[in-house]
Amino acid sequence: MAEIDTKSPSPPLPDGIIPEEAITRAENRWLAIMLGMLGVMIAVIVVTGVSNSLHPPSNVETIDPVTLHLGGEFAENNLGTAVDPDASVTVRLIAEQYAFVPDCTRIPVGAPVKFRLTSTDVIHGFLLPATNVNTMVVPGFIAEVRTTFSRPGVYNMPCNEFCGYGHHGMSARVEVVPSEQFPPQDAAERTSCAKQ
Amino acid sequence: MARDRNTVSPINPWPKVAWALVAGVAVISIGLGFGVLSRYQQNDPTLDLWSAICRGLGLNADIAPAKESEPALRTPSRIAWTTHTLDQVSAGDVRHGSFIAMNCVACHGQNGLSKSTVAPTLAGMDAAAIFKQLDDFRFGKRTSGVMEAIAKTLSVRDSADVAAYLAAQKDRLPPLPPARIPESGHGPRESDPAKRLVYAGDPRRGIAPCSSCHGPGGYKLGAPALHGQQAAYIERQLASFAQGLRQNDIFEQMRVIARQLTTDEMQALAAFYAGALQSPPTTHAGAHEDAP
Repeated sequence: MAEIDTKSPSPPLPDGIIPEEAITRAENRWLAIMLGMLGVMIAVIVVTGVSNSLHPPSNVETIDPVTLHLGGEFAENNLGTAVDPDASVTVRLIAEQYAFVPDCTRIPVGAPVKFRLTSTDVIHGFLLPATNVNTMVVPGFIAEVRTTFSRPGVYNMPCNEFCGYGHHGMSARVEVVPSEQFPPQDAAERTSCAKQ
Repeated sequence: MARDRNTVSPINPWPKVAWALVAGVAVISIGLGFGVLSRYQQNDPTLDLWSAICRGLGLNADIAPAKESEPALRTPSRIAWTTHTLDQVSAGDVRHGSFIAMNCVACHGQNGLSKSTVAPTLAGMDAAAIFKQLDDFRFGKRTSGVMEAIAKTLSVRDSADVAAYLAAQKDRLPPLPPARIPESGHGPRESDPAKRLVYAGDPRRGIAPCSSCHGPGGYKLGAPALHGQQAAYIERQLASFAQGLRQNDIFEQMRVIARQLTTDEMQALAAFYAGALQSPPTTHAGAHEDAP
């Protein structure tokens, strides 16, 4: 440290000590590599985000989590799949300790889908594997995610945000069915495949 | 050391470079986050820049749900766990409650220790749970000829009082919130189906462990304690939830689970909880002696 005095004419360095210029060169090289990696990672995020609609849900709507069941959009009988006049589908779900309600959602394949969820107690996670659906469900806020299912099938949706003692038992599913298995329904009708 | 001393001198470019990098990253992130990513809405037209920024900040008023027709409203319960409700519950007066509780003795037993299979044991039951059930009976959210008639004669104040009195009878159902120690040693490979459901649940069917709400270990507002409850009563309630005869659980907390249970499992669970009456779980040892 102190014995390296830059002003004096450079004395021969002892064995094993690397000259400062060499260190600077190596540091610059690694800095460039690191910036390059950062750039690639940001590019990957932006490209996949834009091309697959994988982006943080930007919807900010607030709602009182305590009185949800007393009326309004998330009243019990308004949950489930609603078909809008333009054949798009709105699915309303409640995440609570420790269940999603309804615990099985039926959606026609190919229809534009809008999920609207909110929580009654703590933060839950809503994720459908192999789709762009992945959001936190925060009490007091309505999470909104849009997607279109291109393949029919059953998508399991375990809660992916630790929500308490019974977290591991909190799991539901989405059944994406061919449109002929999804009978046309009234505007005020709500369907689900939860056992009745 | 020589290099370190130079870091603040105006000739050293690195602090400026560092600040510029940080500022650059911030500008790029803000630009991407507000200007690019939030503009693309799947299934909907791309937003213009200004709406995207406002929406990202939560300032937009036109993001309300579409005004579609909604089915007729049906509420499972009038009770919501607001601070007002909780204040009502905690304002319960045990002395006055003990007078009202004399009406309960015929079915729910002396001091709320039921000996009948029709009526549940109420001694030690969480006050919030009793308060809610009384309100549900009063407004027909839960059906029972007898209890609906009795609850209609009680005021909100009376319900809180009687709930406080019954909750204070600590000699039967274990108190919920203080006993927060989960019982260990039970996993999903537990061979006894009742113990498995109570302590581990069944994730494949979306069943959380009973104990995550009913204790020990977990607690959820409005959930009753079950250890020591009448077996026939538990079994009947599970069946009513499963068949939709009882619908006063807020957001189908119990209906979602009960629908998945088989009749055998309901029976096993009921027997397990009733059996806890003879052999209380170790975490509550001494908390409730055998019935007189």
